Amino acid sequence: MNFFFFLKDKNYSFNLTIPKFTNEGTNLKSLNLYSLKISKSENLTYWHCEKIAQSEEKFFKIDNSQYTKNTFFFIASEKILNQLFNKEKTEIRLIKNFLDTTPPFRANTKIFKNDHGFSSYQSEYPISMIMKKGSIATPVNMLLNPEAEINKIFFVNIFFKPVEEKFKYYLIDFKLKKILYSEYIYTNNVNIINLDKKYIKENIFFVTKDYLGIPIYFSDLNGHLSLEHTHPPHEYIFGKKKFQIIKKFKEDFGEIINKENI
Amino acid sequence: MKSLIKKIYNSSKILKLRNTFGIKKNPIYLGKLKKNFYISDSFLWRTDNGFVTKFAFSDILKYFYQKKCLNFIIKFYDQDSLFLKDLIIDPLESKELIIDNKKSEFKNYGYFQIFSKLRNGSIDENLSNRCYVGYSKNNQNFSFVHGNSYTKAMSLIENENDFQSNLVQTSLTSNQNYYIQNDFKNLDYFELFFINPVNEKISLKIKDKDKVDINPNSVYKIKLKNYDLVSFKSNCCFLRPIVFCYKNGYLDAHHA
Repeated sequence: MNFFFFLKDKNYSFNLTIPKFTNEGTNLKSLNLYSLKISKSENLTYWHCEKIAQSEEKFFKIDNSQYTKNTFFFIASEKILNQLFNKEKTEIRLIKNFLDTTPPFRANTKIFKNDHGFSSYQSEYPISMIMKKGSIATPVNMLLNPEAEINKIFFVNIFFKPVEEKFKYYLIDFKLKKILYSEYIYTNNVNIINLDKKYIKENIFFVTKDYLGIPIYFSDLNGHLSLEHTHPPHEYIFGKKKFQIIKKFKEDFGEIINKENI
Repeated sequence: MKSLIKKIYNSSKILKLRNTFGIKKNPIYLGKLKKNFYISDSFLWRTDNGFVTKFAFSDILKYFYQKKCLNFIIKFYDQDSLFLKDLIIDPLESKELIIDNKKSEFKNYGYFQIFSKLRNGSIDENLSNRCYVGYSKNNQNFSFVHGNSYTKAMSLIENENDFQSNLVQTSLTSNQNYYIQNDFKNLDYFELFFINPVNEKISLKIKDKDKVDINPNSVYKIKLKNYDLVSFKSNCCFLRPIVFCYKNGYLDAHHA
């Protein structure tokens, strides 16, 4: 099972297209589209979930003007919906074997600039990622353009508890073993990070220590846009010790962070 | 006994039968690779119609193993899989590469693969450098896509030249359906580039279009318009085109 999101930024428009079919062609018209966001009552912070009426035949379409930032989406049957949360809706539960396809079930997340260009990528946020804390380390330079007027990273985090907790991201020079920049971002948010082009260099990594997420890289040159995400490190290594190797790789960044924070 | 059964179960012929009849399908099988292979996708390059291609890769031996890479080897082929050239890149050089038509061999479009050699020693795993490719039309911004498949593997041991191909599997009939999970309505037009990942001819049938054969490791390009949903059938079990969408003079490239 996957969750979906749209990006939001005042200078651009966004939309999300979720297919009503799997990539093998199985019809999913009996499933519903739901929005998901954090809600607060007097004593409780919980997940608020709403069914969205849709008329289109082949796709669910979501446009960012209809929803506030940090609204997430998923498709499910009533039965899956009833299993997805605990009683108080203070936790999302892991659902297995639902829309688990190869390659993964994806939506299309698109960004537009008025009277200019557009860019999109095939997106998904797997439920298994929602259930865990963790760290990420991914190179900054690969998908950005130092010649572009605007470079951003949209960092999406969805966590199973409905909390907006502050945590830091770091820009770290792996070669110099040095933090170049850090700032707070939030869980259960589509965080927008404006990136100075001086950081678009080899050996500079975008790093988080406390939470997982998907970094989506965006650049704008004369209204021509690019949007794409980087691969997580475990997709680079095949072997029994792969998670040990990745753990060590991430610990190297952890040591740099710990050393500089003393 | 157990390992013999496993070997038979994952042999090419049995894999083909499994994929044909949908029994524990395995579209990409990396089990025949021993250790120390560097696995590459077949990345599309194009210089046709004002396009320039940018390739960005990283030194994963340095990052994950703190080991020294001897070099990167990039193998270029044209659209018919005719070998064009090897480019050997020192690890201290830039890990970005521009492919344009200033060099006479890069005409039209084709594909390339990246491998790397370790300076001395070995590792206990296989690696795949997933990499990123950007496409710029008429000198505008690069629209990036990430690597998406596993096509060929080369030993990363310094003096070994072992290759393994046919990592992507095929079935006996064209029964592998793929529906691109995007809506192509409201575009001026769009192009799909399919790179055959195997050393055998494969078939491709896109919606109402005629069935075509794609020669071993060759590139097939098709221009389409006025479709919302695009699906295709093939005997190749992992065939994912790169999609180029056009509207009002703007470009969006993404993988399918």
